Amino acid sequence: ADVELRLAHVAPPTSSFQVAGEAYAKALNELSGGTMEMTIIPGGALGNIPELWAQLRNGALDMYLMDIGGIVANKEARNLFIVFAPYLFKDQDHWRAFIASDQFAGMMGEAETNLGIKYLGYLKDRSPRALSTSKKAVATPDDIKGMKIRTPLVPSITEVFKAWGANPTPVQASELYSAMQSGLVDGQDNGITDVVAAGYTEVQDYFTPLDYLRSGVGIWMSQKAWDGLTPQQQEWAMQAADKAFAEQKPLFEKEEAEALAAAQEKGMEIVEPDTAAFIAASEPVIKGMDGKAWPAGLYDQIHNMK
Amino acid sequence: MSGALAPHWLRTGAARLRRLLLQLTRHGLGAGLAFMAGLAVLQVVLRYVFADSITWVEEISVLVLLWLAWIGAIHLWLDRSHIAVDLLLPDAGPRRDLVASVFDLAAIAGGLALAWAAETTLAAFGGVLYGSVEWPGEVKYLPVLVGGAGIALAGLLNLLAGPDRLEQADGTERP
Amino acid sequence: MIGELALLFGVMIGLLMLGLPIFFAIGAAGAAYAIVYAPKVPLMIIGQRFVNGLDSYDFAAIPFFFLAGEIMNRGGISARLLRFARAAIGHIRGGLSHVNVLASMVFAGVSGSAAADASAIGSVMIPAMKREGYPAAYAASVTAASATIGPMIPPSIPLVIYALFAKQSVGQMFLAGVLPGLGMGLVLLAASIWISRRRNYPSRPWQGWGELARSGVTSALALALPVIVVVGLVSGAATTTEIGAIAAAYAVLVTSLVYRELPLRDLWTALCTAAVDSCRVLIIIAVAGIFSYIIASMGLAYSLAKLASGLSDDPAIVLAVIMLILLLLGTVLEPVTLLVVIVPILVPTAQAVGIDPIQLGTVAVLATLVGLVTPPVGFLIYLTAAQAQVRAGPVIRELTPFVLALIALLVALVFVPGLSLWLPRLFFG
Ligand code: NA
Ligand code: NA
Repeated sequence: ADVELRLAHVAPPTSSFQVAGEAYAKALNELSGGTMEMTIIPGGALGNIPELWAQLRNGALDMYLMDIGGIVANKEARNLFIVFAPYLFKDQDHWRAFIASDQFAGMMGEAETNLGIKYLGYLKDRSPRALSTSKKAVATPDDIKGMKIRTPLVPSITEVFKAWGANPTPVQASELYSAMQSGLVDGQDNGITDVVAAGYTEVQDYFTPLDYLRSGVGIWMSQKAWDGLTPQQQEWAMQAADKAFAEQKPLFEKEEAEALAAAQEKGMEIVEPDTAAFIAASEPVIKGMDGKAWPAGLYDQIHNMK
Repeated sequence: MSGALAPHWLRTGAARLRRLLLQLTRHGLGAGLAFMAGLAVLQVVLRYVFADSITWVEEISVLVLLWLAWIGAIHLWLDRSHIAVDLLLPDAGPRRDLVASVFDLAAIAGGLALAWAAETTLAAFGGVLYGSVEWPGEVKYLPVLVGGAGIALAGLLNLLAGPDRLEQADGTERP
Repeated sequence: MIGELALLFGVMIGLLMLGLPIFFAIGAAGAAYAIVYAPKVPLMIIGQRFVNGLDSYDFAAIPFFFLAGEIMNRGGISARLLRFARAAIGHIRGGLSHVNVLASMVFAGVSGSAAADASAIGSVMIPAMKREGYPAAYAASVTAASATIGPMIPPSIPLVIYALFAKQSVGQMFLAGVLPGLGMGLVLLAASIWISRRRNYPSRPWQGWGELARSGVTSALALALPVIVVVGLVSGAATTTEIGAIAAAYAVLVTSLVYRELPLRDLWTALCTAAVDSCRVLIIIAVAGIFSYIIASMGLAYSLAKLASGLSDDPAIVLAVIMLILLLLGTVLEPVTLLVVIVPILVPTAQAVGIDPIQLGTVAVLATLVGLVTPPVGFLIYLTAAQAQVRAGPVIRELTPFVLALIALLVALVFVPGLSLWLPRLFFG
């Protein structure tokens, strides 16, 4: 091969991140007629989330595969924090439309310039963030009152859980299974495919598809690696992302449905949420962050985009 | 090679500074551990009794843990009590002192090289944020820089003070 | 790849054998690799990797458990546990020898490291055994062998390290250690009884049920600690790390308020000592991150996994091979180094052939602990020999039956997965 690139991500080798990375690697290899090859190093073996960003910016790492919102770990990319705003997107198509929009391209372009990295594209949808619980079913914000829910330490996420009356509780990912088994926490907010893949179905009884955040996997390249490619190779690198997403896109609904079925088979009950009530209870958080965590009016602009 | 060649004032000065650093780092390490343990107990009480929790406990504690490890590395070098395989080392005596001096030279070289490498790491972290506290990402790697520089200093002080001046952290003479 | 590995491990083991501190040898081997194979490990990576190894809150459990053990030790808890062990089995032939093992088992429930165990028990038991006519080398050997129980019964520093480097739950690893830990006590007691009978070692008079009850009552608060650890884990009151801090707080309460043997000044000394002691381990964990980066870049773990699954698909055989490798390396490397440098490479191999990583954990930890009492490099041999004021040679000879007993248990752990898995499965699905 003419070009060999090293791609790192922080998810396990059995995760959807790995699937997305392999789809990209295959597409790139095909487009380049086998002249561009990739090594994928999963599991955070080369570094944790901020370390991999630093390596990418510095050129020590060629490529990084990460949740789109993960880029906000960089100060200069804070304009993208908006993707963590609860109920910003009405459904998965809305999220995909945003990712494909000029508005997103402008925001990501600004981040690329500031960070000195290259965004290659969007690879794969992820399960919307939801809620699983052990003791009791959660259909309304009243049900979740007083529950200890493990969430990521993202301000908009912890704030919205507080607004619903829950107590967001920090727990290390490695201890989450035991923490739910022992009752240290009552639930967590990963999407259904992650709940099934991590085996949380064994220690959680109810799943409520709140779908309050939507996201997917993006792929970036260091400026150094990008500059080392010929214009033709650069074009392939961009096209490979589109090719991978085109292949992965139809799988989203199927994988979601399969994961839900698998969860039910393991004895989990799927609870229909009163989405309107959750949205209403989220409003004060969104209003409070508008103009602070993101530019004033941006939420409405994206929320109402055509 | 070691302290024997240094003038008297330098030897005693180095020995005094070494003793001071041993005390400072020892009590600093104790304080760091007390802080971490206190936070953890507080977190359990908050969560168990009040169903509430402090979100930044883990992130701050990891920082303290990293400082413990690297300040500890300096302390243990000054104290010559890092875990090592001393099977082939000569028994106490002039030959042992010579080996110790060679190790101290290695500490000076290695410590400075490490501080230099850590400086590059810090530079690469400009702009990356550390967790929910959103401190500059460099905060995590500063302990390595300080640790490298400190180990180099520890090697130098041990070398200057000479092996006969080595005392333990509690002030008693080494047997 | 062979050349790269030879450089990496060659430099590390070479510097170790010269007597340089372990953390220094690991770091220098990483740096040597970065220089020789530039630009595979860019300069900015080195600083990152000397943090990454330790970059998890779970590791805070290590200083916490050091602290709990240190406070218990200073606050008169070990003396009470010894008195209890003596009242329970001191009257059997070779009584003090068995008391030594039993005390280690009980002490294992409050301490997380073998060094603490050996220092606490050895300082009291070795002089006592010598006074009653046991050979000094035997007294040292039974102390050294039984001190290895400390890190198998929770709380345990090696189990924390394994869990984090193998990406397993610390809580489950703790539960997995309980039965093997008790098993270690049983096989060592058996060896102690066998030797005592053959050599006609002395016994003490039975002190009566009253003394047993009294010593049991004064020890009860200390004996409650392992129960607190397990109950705290299973009930969801706290994470393993937090339980470490709770255990330390509990030890402070018991020793200062109930036993009244720990004045404030001593508490501060205990804090400083525990912090310094834990740093010996923490710094090795911190720098080991450079090895995991290099190994991951090479893809070594996955090539090894492929190789192993091609050779044999019988989990027990592969695990037995891993056990032999660790026993062999354990003769010269100490547990922390093995657990942070070697064992993580073996985890994907084990999983590829269907070995449960929890079972691998107990096998790996016990195998590395045996290394503490096997020559030429065995920390506990030299520590207890110094306590008993004898040379290492006779202690090593006296250790033989104990080491064989531990290896027999190790083989049982390899071929009977339930010994490790039954308890964690019972509580954690
Ligand atoms: Na223990
Ligand atoms: Na050994």
